Amino acid sequence: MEALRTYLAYPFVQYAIIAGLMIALSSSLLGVTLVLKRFSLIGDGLSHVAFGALAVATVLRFHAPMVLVLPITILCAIALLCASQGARIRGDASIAMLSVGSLAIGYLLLNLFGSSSNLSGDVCTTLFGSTSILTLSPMDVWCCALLSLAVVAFFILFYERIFAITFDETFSSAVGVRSRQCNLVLAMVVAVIIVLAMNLVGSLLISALIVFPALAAMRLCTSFFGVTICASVISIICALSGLLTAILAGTPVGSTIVAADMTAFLLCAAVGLLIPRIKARRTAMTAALCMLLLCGASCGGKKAEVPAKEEESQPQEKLAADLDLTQVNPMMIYMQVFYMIQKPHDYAEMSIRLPGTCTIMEDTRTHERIYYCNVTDSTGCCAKMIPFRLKDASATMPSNGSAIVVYGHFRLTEKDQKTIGVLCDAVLE
Amino acid sequence: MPLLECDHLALGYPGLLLTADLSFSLEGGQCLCILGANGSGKSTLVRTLLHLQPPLRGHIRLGEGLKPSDIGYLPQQTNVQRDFPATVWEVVLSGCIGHMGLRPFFSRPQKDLARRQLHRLGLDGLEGRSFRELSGGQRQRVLLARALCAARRLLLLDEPVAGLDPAAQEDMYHLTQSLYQEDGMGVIMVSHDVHESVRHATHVLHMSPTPFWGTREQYQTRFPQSSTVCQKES
Repeated sequence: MEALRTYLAYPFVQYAIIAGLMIALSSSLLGVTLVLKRFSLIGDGLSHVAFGALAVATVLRFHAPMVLVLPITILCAIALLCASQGARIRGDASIAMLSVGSLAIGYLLLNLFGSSSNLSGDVCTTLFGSTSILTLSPMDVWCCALLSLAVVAFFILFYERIFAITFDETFSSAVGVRSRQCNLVLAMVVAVIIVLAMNLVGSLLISALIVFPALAAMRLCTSFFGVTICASVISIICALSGLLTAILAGTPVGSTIVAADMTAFLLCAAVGLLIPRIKARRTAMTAALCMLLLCGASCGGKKAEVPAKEEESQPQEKLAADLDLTQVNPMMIYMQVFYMIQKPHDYAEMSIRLPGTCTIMEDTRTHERIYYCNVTDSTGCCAKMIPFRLKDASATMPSNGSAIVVYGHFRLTEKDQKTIGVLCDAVLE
Repeated sequence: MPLLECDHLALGYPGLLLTADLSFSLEGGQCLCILGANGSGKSTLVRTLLHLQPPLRGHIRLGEGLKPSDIGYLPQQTNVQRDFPATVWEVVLSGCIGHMGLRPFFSRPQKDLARRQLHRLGLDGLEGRSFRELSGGQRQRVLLARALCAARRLLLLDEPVAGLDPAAQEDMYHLTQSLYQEDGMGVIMVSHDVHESVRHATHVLHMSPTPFWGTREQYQTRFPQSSTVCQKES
């Protein structure tokens, strides 16, 4: 619990939780309709389209990739959802075609024209989300919150119409509901959710956010209204427990949330099978949700104790550090290093203790050897490095690839017209 | 003026003509049974009557100030509905969706209307039950109640007895009969089941390259094979 409190104090953790919960809520609402309309795979297909679009935006060096990704995804959503009647290639085949095609083209484009030095890292981040939810800026969070609110508002205002066209589209159009327009708006909303959810769980795992809460709720509830409410509650609980577990235990965020969703589904399926009577099911449902919440909390709690024990086993005297990264899990180390590079000014003149592996590189012009402390994220696909300069120039230098803990003062220097931070007066511990 | 009047309708899709010249009309208190083999254009006629699809030629006129959305439509049950999580109340109430205008939610008069239709079809006490847990006959009653929420004077039933057991079929026919005989509604019934449905109708429309439209008696003299069975039974 102590560890949880420290982590929650970080603004990027707070942003992640706000954005994550909003995304979970809106995706579960729409999920009910998509599952019932037999469109579960649409989410999967569209997320791959979004990946392809993101690749195009990266290659074209867009500063705000959303400007390109959102319209492309919306267009594809409209094409898939609205053209499914009377199209030459039917439903699932067109989804399969579009999703695999855009995945391949996206990767190909990145490979051929990408400017990034860490291609596999970028791809891995987009596909599995790894830490991108933790790297949101306040602006991103505002965007996320506004779009999610718009989705929720749309769902509430159109609730009766959504129910009618989901249950029976022919009847609804016969009595005068504009089903085509409704489907069009629905497609657009789905696209917005997919693009948002890509931040949270990565594009390969989005379907889980859409499908699992709805399916879990359908095991328990018998009314459409009940399913909708239940799905959103399950989704929020799973997202929260998944995020907290991931932050405390340092596991990849996306997969942890999906694992929580799967657990919820299995729990609900078991309750639905064991207790066939509806009234009893309602009490059981509440119990199941409470259990889920407890599971998440205890899971996080257990993992959180691990670093505390390590602290006791190392009674050596240490220099006091403003930021001691030996006390946190690998994901937090990575996040802190990420922000040290993004916003070096926030960390200026702090004393920092940083564990990592030593990486030695040679400056191509001056032939000077530069020592870095290299840190990888929890999925292992991305790495960030902070350079350090030892206080004692005559000390024996570590070899390339060895595990080190560096203690030093973070000072800003100019390099290639960019401000970077260097750990100066460093000591190896 | 009749409730519904069709004038020299030609039905089909671009490049495919199903029926060339179809004329018939329907008044309150009548029940028109639409018969025909597969592919004769029955479902196209249904879609055209509901204004989901324009006729190739000809006109459809609705009397008494009816709008196309005032036709109460009982569609065939779809696969999606078999495991749809919805209560009877939610399904019946959704019949009022056409009267909602720009409002986001249902108003009190609409809820009262739905409650009246539930009562009329003997579904009291089932409001909270799940649609997917009902029997086939009960489901059809629920969908009929939904159609009645939307309908003002005119009902269009698409294969109302398909997939029902004999008792439930008989029950459905009696319900239909009470709707046009007692409540004076106009009922159109599309059916595969020639003998039974003709027995419960007042008029027959037989879709074929040379369509037939007339009263049941005229139909039975014109096509005696199908009527012999009916006479034996009655």
